[in-house]
Amino acid sequence: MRKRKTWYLALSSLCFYVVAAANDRPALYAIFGLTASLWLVSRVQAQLGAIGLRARRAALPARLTAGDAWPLDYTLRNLGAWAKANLELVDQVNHGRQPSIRRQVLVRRLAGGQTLAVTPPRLLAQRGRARLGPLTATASDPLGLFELTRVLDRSVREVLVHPRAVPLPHFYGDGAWGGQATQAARASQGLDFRGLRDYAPGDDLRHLDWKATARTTRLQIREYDRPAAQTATVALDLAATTHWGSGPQGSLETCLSAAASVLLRLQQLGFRSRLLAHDQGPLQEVLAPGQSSWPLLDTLAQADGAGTVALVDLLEGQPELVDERLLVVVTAAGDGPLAAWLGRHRGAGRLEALVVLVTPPGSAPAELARTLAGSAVGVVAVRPGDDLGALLRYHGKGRR
Amino acid sequence: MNREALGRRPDPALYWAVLLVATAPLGCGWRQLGGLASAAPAAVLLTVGGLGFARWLSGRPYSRVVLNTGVTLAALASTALLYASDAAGWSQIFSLQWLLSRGIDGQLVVYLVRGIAWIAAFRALTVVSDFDVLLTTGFSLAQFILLSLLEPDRRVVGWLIPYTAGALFILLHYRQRRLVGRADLVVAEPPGEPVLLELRSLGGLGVGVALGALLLSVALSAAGLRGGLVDATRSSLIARAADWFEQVTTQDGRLPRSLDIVGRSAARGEEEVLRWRGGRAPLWRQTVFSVYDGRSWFRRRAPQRLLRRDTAGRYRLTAGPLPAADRQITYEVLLAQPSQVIFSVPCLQAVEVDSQGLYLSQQGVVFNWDTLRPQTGYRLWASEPDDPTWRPTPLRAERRDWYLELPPSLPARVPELARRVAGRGSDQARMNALLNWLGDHKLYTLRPDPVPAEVDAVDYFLFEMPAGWCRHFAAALAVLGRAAGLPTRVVEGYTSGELAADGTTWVVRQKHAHAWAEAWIEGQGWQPFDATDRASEEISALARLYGRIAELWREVPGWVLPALLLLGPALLLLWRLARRPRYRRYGDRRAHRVWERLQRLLARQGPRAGHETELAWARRLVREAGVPAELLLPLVDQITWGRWSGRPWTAPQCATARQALKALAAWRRASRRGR
Repeated sequence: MRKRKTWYLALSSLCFYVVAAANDRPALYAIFGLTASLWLVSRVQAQLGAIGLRARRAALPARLTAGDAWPLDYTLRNLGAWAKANLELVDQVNHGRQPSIRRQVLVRRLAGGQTLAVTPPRLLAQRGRARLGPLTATASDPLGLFELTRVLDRSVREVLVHPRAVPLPHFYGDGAWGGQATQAARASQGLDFRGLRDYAPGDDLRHLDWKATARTTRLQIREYDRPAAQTATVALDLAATTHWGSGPQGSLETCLSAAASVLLRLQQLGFRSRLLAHDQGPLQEVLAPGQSSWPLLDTLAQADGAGTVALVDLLEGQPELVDERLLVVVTAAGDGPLAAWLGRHRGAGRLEALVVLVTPPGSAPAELARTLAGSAVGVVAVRPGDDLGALLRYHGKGRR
Repeated sequence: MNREALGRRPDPALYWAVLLVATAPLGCGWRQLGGLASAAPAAVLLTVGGLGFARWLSGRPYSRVVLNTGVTLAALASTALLYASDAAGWSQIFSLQWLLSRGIDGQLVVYLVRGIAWIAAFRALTVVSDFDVLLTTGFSLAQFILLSLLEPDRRVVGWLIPYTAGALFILLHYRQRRLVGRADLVVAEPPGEPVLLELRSLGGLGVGVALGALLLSVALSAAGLRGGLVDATRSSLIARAADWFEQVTTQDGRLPRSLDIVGRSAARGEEEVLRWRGGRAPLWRQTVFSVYDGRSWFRRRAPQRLLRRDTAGRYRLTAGPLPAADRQITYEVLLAQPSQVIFSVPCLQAVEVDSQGLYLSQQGVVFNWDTLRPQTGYRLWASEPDDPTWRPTPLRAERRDWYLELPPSLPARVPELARRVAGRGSDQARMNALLNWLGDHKLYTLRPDPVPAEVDAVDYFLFEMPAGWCRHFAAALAVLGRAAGLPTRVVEGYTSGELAADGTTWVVRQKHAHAWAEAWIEGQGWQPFDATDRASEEISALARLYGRIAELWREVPGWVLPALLLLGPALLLLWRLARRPRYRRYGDRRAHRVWERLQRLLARQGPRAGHETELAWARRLVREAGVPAELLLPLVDQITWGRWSGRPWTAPQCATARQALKALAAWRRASRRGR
């Protein structure tokens, strides 16, 4: 439309000249001069407005967490001597999977030599590989006939945005196996019975061994040991056909956030936590206690939710799962085969299974939730936007 | 501003602004026939009314019918206002009555057709351009150009300046709104009112454009091309400065310096120039041109002398006594427009005017020391050319040479023609022969063919053009006279005008502007020779048809046109009523009535959007406007039931609904008082 306008103006200017020459009328020559001059002056104004600017960005971290604010601040300097008016600065964040987000700032007046610190409105980061930039400035004449855009900062910075891992204080530990006198003691709690000890203030009364107490007439507390390098698996369903919604309110993001939260929590509890998923290809990441969680989170950050292997098939291909103590399944659409697999293997081995089921807002409980609840497999239904920390209250086998 | 930015409801203020911008040329085109004085009150009333209407609309549910009806009514009201203002006797206000009383010569038909075409085009344009102000402005500017071509009047071009500034301001204002609207953050906002900032920006743009236009015109002139301001005014910057100096230092500086005979613009305005009575119908001399360069006639710069008063307080142009009372020709002149020139007649001897001084130019034009205001009167004394007491100031030899000068580029066939036609005899006889030859061989037209560049204008007229207008005839006669050895010059002024209703006063209007030749006749002085008088008018079939229509139109009574104007909307209304969909409303009519009243009652709290159900609208009002839920929601529920269940309301339901409506009205009154 804008290009059409400038063409209209140029064309009408030409027409004025032709009409003026044909009629030899001073007034028409004057109109020709004014329209042609308007065209020319507007173009020069727009051109002058777009040059002589420099922008410097604030430092940008290499990684962000979803939901954090992007550090979009920059300083703008007018290198020329003349003031510039109505500059439109556009900064954009491009996500591979989502539409790019723009932040448009209008600088009404920037005097010659002036430096201006610009803090655009907060823009929350979304999980994934994101590109920030380039930063462009658009200047135009007062009437907006011509608009010239110039790139102020050509550098495009790539940032990996991790899924948000939520602290899960009530997940698999707090009160599940015996009393924790201290935080340090809680961190070392395991699964295998180690022995008895005297009660200390602060111990959970639920872990009192009443028989030993009766025998010794002193309060006795049961203590557990965790087998070395015990593995807990988080099976994440990334099959393309199971996910619904898009963006932060979609099931994929909620699944990834739940998986990251659980994995980090298990590592914190001393497990050798393992991610099992199939996206573009098989994904297997192991997170040992004390190890940096970044490689795992990097993997989750780049998950596309484009897998072609069903979760059940993935679980069938991992027979060692049955001998492991803990399996957490994170999925957005549980189905009959998954319920059947869980029910079969739960009864057969020592497997303790928990299903985190992401359901659409306002939806009725899925059939899987009902089926699994019937077979005493732990099921937690989570909706996008729910407080995961409050919802994921799992206390171990049979203790829901 | 496009429809997307406006949302589903066009901004009434914008609608009005666009309408004003687009109607301005039409209004100016009409007003150029009347006086400028009418523009200000009409424009103010139209704007105030329009903005009031827009404000009234903004609190109500959007309806295209209401909007268009309001605009139409406002346009009709403004026309009626102008009509009434004219009836009240305001000076020279444009109105239908004014046009009709002047014998409109079919002109009104042209304007009506133009108006109708304009309205259709404007509606189409707003739809096509999505309220794009620039396109609308461009369209309106094109109207200006058309007007200036159809109605050559400097006032149209003069209107361009305030109009363009207004249009640019509106454009700038909406551009600023759009810029702010699409930004997530606005920083470095300078202090001050936005309007002042926009004005400053507009001023900067104006200065830039003016400088640009000047540079462009200088560049075009330097490149040897036609066009640009400098070339258009046919003078360099130095010459313009000299003009300005002359204007402020001499009395004739405000008169046109040249008489362009290759141009084709004719003054056809109805503005009154002067009224006169007494004497016999003269040609009113205003400006004298004595230098011919092959394309135009120019004034010669020469010193002026101060006229002396006689004992009776009259300014005398000649020495000696005035003629006897029975041989005197006296004129009483009343100016209708400001003028520095004393309009004079041949054989002028004395002027009586309330002035502090009169000057006489070397070419015989009388100037007042300052501009005479309208309604200033003066009296002239003149003689018959053959009066023995009339002694013209002799033409000195060097002055005689002024009036015999011919451009060296004049083709030889012109002097040959002059000598052949003029023959031998007295000066008077030779001039008459030339005049007769022109009258017999050339036709008169108001639309002459253009004169090509680089040719002598008089030569082209004499040998190539079948018809010309007064400037051609005057220039040709003067050149032929000079070629035949007679001192001649071209004079611009007015004809004697038309007789007013009182039968004694003559009214000279702008359309009576005229040019003729004067020749120096020994013993009689400068005498007018008007070849245009002898020429037959070139009449085309179209002009004859036009004349016939104008003649018929004059016989139409004055009330017909307003009646026709009112008849159109009335017929349209009837047609719409006749085509009104006739269907029986589903559900209880009382429920429908209550629903309509409820919508009107709560329109200010927020009109119902097209996609909202009744209940969704009510819930929104409860949530956003704080309407009591206990009153509104049951009522809306009941209305919905009444409208769509197919069963009529019972009497208690009806009473409950009315009570709820009353309670809501009381709540609204209370909330307004509280505010």
